[in-house]
Amino acid sequence: MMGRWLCYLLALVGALAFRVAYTGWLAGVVFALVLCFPLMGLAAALPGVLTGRLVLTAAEPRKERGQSAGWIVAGESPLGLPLGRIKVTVRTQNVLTGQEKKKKQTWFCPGEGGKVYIPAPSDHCGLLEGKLIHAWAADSLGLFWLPLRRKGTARQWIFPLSQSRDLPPIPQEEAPGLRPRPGGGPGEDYDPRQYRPGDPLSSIHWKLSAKRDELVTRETLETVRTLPLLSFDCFGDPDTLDQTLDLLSGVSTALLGENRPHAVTWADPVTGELRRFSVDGEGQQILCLEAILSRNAPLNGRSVLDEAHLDHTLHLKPVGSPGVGGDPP
Amino acid sequence: MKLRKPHRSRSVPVSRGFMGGLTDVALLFLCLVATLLSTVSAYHIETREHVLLALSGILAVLMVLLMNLPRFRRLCVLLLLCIWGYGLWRLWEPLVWGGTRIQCDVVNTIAAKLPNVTPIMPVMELPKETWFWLTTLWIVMVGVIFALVLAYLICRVGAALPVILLTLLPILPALCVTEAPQAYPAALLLAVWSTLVLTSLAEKRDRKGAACLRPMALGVSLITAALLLQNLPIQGTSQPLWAADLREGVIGGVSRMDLSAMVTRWGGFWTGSGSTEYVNLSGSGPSRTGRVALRLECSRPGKYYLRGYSADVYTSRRWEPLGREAQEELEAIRAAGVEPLLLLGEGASQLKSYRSILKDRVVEARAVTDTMTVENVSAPGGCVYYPYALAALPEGAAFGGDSHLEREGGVWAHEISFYSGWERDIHYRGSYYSYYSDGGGYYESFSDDSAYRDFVYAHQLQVPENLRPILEDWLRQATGEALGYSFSTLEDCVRYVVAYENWQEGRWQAWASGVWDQDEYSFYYGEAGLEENTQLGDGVILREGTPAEWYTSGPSPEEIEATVVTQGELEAYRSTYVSLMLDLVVNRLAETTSYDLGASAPPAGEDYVDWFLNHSRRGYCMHYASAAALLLRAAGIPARYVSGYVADVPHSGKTEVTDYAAHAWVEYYRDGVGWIPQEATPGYQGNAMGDALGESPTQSTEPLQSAAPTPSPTPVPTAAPTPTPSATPEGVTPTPSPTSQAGNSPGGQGGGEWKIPSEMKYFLTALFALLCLLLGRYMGLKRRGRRLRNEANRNAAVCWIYSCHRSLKYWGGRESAELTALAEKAKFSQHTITQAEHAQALALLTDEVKRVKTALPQWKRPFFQLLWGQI
Repeated sequence: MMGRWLCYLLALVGALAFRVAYTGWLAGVVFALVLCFPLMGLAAALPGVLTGRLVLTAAEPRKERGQSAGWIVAGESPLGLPLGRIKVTVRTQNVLTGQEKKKKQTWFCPGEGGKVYIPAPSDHCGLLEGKLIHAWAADSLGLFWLPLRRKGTARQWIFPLSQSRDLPPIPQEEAPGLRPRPGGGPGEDYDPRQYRPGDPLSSIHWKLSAKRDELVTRETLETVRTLPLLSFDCFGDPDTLDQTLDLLSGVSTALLGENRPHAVTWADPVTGELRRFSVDGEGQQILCLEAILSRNAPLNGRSVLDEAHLDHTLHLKPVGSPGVGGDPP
Repeated sequence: MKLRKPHRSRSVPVSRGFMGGLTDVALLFLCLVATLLSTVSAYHIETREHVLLALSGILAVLMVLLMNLPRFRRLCVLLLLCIWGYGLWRLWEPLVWGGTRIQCDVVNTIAAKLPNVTPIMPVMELPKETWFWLTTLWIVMVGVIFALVLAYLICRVGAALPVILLTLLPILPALCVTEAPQAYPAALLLAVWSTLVLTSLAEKRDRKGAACLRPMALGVSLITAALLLQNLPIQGTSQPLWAADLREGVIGGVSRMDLSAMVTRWGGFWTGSGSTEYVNLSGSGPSRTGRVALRLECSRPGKYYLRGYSADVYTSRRWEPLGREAQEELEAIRAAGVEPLLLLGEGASQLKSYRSILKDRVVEARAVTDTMTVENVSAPGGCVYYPYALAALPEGAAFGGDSHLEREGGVWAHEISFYSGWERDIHYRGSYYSYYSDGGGYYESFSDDSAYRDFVYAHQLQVPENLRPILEDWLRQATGEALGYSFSTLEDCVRYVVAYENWQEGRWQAWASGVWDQDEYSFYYGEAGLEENTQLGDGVILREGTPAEWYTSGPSPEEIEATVVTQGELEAYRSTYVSLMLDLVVNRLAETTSYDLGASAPPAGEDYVDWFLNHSRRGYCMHYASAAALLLRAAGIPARYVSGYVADVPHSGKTEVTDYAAHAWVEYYRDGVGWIPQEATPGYQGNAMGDALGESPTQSTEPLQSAAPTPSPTPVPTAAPTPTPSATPEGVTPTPSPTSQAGNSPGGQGGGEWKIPSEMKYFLTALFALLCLLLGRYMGLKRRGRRLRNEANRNAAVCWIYSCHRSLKYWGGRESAELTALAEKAKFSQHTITQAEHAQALALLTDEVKRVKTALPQWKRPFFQLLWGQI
């Protein structure tokens, strides 16, 4: 931009010198034309700038901590006019840690559309929220910045490192037995119970109902398997959180590797409300991690051990950090 | 091993599609049309415009098709060149004729502007129509190659600057001699240039997108050019006040730096003082370089006022020529067959048959003509500088309105025939006109200038309205002090004269003698008694007081106010009034102001003349001429500002007039005679250097040209009660002449000027050279850095690194086998140099530079650092 202005000023000085030295009419026209150049540049660029727009998307929805993460800013003009030099500022906020970073980028956007990759900070776990806070396009001469239409925000999760670990002895959360299966369905074991509005007609035990003279339904039962429970404290500085989440992810992945469903529980660091996620597959694990990463974690908060008085749980905490609960794996 | 220059990678132009082709055709067509028409109009080449238009269209389509051929493009270009060459071979003779004709036109255009270029004409005489076709044929043949190059630049290269330079090239010589092409082709060319500039940024990165942007940019450019043409003057010279001020300042600054050696007579831009159409009054003083402006050769020695331009419109900061409407009006007057006394030369030419009349005596005047050769060396403006009283229109000159003699192109020396005794004739004629203005046989012998007289009285009496009261106050004060009665108009003056005449001739007594009763102090008109101060008509008033008092006091203001004057009396006294006011204005200016060549410009917002008359009271010829012209106008006498040179011709008859002799004076209009020059600057001697005749400063209030006999004072037909101001009033305080002013300053260049000491010149030159050196070094190092780190073409970058490394051996560098291997790979291998290899080569060079620098002796290191800098 500075170079273009220098070129323009040089041209203006040249035209001025021509105007001063040359008394003919042509000097007046040339000088006026050079004076009008900025306006002409604006006028020529205006249709492209008015119809063009920028869209921010995440390069990939999820990345592991330390991997290169980033945003894609795509520019397009329906008229096929080049948007020229474009300057954007993307603000990236880590929801988990609360850290914020701005990144500026300038590039040339051709008429058929163009993209630019803007790196995002991935040194800590968390949900990254990116927003285009400024988007400018240069005019045809590259002298002025004109505001561009921009669209929305984008999200990207930075997951903890999911390295598989050697599993420590994990206490079982519940004893084996039967429990009503959510949603019912066919099954060999069932318990009769009083009809509740909404129960399907097919579940009514007609014979027993006739005997008792009231509607009795079959409630299908399922076998309760032993479920390891993983707990952790969702507060602390970003490095501690990273290590804790790395532990959680590693243990969870190891359990899943052994086909062992498990549960993850933690307490909201501010309200103390308990949160629990059953993880029986990779999808559930991702959902669980996304739920963890989407909440802000302050430096200090309430521990899950204080809130729930859990007896049979593996409390995860990084090595060397003070805390309560079970031993580190 | 010596490597060749790295081969520049050729980028294949992106296909622009149909839209791109269309815009290419349109742009190329406009470019060709604008360039061809601008060129033919700039050099006044007579050709067939419709042929040029058709040629541009055909060439635009053909060349764009050729440049967008997917295959065999070079072959087709070669084929086209072969056809062109064949045509050249077959049409060689007519093409040479056409070229000769165009060469003549170009040379003649330049010769019209440059003094030492001689106009040429083709030897062969052919019919005009044939010449047209020959020049057109030549343009067609040249146009083919021109279009081919343009098409390559527009379609393949896509860079704006080469196209602009190429299209500027044909008209550049014309522009250098201040000859502009016609407005519309020039505007079209500017629009094309603007389009190229507006799309240049996109052309570099996105050629397809640039093709879409072009129609937009072209539309914006054309609209802007049309608006500019609509709202700006597109003919002749036009320079706004600020530009004229700036130009004046620059020229003044340069001339004060005594850089005249760098300024040649070719410099149309760099002219010193002289006469120009527009006179800027807000400058910081006259800029004089001491250069020779004119060369004179005259048969009669003496001081001559050489007239250039006169200016008619005063705008408080400058003098301007009459507007377009007035010029048209003047043209209409001349076209009507009335030959007005536009310039004094024309009026004086009729004096040959003039027989001066003094009362009852008729004397045959002998017309004495002299010849003066005036060569323009570096005097500004496109006018002929000529002495007053032309006997005939000089060859190579034409009347430029009524303000100047226009110099015809290519003619720089004029032989001018003029009347040397015109001042005497003017006065005889003025006397004649005063006494016999109601017509007569002799009056009929002069040309009928009534139409021009009306024109002059309509345009050359104009004074800014805000300035008029100031000027009238000044005039009333001057007349009051000189004559005892304040007036500023002809009517007031005549009323005063008539009243005084009545009083002096005792018409009061003569009229009332029969009915006057002395004891009762009352008058009787016929049988009736009259009240005192009763107006009786015919210039007679009933006076108050006793007859004894009447004889001592003269007419009272009330009597003068009540005096009735007729139109006939007004006309009869006009000549006297003019002479009276001229004396008053000039003498009063000399009394109340002082000559100062270093007078500063008036503050912003102040009127130039008002500031001079009432505040600073110091000034030089421009101040005096401006003030006198406006004061005369305020007094009802048409006057105008004139600039030129004052030359002292020695007895040898030859002299060179430098721009120190530039001067300004006034011309006033006298009925039946025309414009008469009047010196307004007190004590002005002429050439400030005083090297011609060495006359002492004199106060001149008479018409100019001291070599002519000094005319007798203009007869005053009335007996004024107070002494009429003489031609050389005793009370005039001698004011310093330009000569004395010039003598005060070192080098004799005037009080406000200074010269740079020679040591300072050397210092400035050395400083400038050092700056140039540093700038060149900075640019060179930056360019070298770009080439060394050229990521786009690492092979070329490594080759360049190798070249740089080799050049280190002059400073004691050693060859590096590693770098040589890399350079060989970059040059000859099919592989592309990797980033790591590039970095390695760069590191090798950097290390070697450091090593060489450390190994160098101390005294060599600064030179090495200067040349090499940091890698």
